[in-house]
Amino acid sequence: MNPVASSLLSTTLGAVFLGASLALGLVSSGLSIIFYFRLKHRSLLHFALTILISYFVLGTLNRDPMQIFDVGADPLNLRFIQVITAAGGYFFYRLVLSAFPPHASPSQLPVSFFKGFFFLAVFARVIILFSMNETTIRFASLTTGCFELITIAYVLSHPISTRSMQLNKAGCCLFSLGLMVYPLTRAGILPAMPSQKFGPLIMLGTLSVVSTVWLFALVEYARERLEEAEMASLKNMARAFIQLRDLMNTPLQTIEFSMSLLPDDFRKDNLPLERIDHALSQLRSVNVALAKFEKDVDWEQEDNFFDISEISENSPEKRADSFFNSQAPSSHLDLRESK
Amino acid sequence: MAAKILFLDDSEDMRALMGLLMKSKLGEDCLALDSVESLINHESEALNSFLAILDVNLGAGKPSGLDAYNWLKAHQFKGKVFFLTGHARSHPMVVKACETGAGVWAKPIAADIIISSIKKILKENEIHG
Repeated sequence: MNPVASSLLSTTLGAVFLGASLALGLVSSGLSIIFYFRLKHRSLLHFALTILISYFVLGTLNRDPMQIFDVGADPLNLRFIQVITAAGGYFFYRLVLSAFPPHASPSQLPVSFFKGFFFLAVFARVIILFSMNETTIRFASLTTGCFELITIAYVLSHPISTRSMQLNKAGCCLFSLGLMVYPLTRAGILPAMPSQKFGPLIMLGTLSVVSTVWLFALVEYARERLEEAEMASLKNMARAFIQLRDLMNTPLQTIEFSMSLLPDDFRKDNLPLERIDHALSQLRSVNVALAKFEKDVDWEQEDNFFDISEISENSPEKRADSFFNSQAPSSHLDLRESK
Repeated sequence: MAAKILFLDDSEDMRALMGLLMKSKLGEDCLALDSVESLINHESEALNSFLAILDVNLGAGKPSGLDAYNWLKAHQFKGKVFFLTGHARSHPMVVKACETGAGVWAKPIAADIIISSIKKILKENEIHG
């Protein structure tokens, strides 16, 4: 059994911690995958893959991060871990890019800088596959540590707009910080002793915290998407109301002109005309009441809810015309038959 | 006698009623046209009028009242121009119409208001012209 797992399972508290951490990781990555299929945002899928690979890598880790220098132990296994770690790094890189796309803000760290360090870290990992020795491993660890640092700088410099992005930012920074311990220890920047003792626990703790933060981010993201959908449907409704009102205005103007053209003596004590006048003023009130929806209308959208030509085509008069026209040939036929 | 009022609207009902309204209330002829194309075809008559009332939207995919306004201005139209529209004030076409500096009347507008405004413009034209 993995030494980290076996040491945790030896105590009740440790077993609870390990179980809770794994459950958090599985729930957050599982929910991310479900959300990905619903919402189609790539960062959701990248997060799930990053977390799952990270737990897998943690399972393969030895208690002592320095033991990886013992290349003679099992070189194939070590190379396999390098490939899996690189894949995890790649999905984390994709997660950062999809969650924090390059922004025009001058305060943001250039994305090319972030990409450059990622490719340098990948290049260093590729070197290990062909030449595994202490120097290449130290170089790969150093570039990975630098990539994690640059990631923190890139993510922190991104201008955030939503609460879910803020949580995502916190998650990415914590993930980078937690995962920096191993590479920086191997690179000789951090002392070996604390990492040898607490390294795997720090990584497990990091994954648990990041999974929890991501769960909150997921809930926030879903809430924001719901709000967006609600706003969009309100805007559509407002547009439909205003378009309908606009279509009504020309016929209303026609009635208005027609009424004013009627002779005064004809209008006098004419009850039906008074009712029409009253109905007209009520329609004007409706017109005024609908004006409050104007501010919510997105005029950038070009499609119309109502096409006046379509409405005219379906008007009762047109329907009656088409009915009689369609009846005409059969009536001719009847005449011929009667002859 | 040439018409003093030019009216551009794609609604047949509106054109017929505006003509009747101008004749019965002001005793003036009205050149009522349905499109920018017919406006161009009636160039000399249209440019000699004192007042142009242009519907902003002359049908989907067709040149608008704004195109008619630009055409009139490009051909040194000296008269006053008003837009008549059923669209919301915030509609991009209405916003553009407002930016021209011409008056914008919102449908439905009381016939009395239109009549009194036109009467005033024609009177000013008689004084100055």
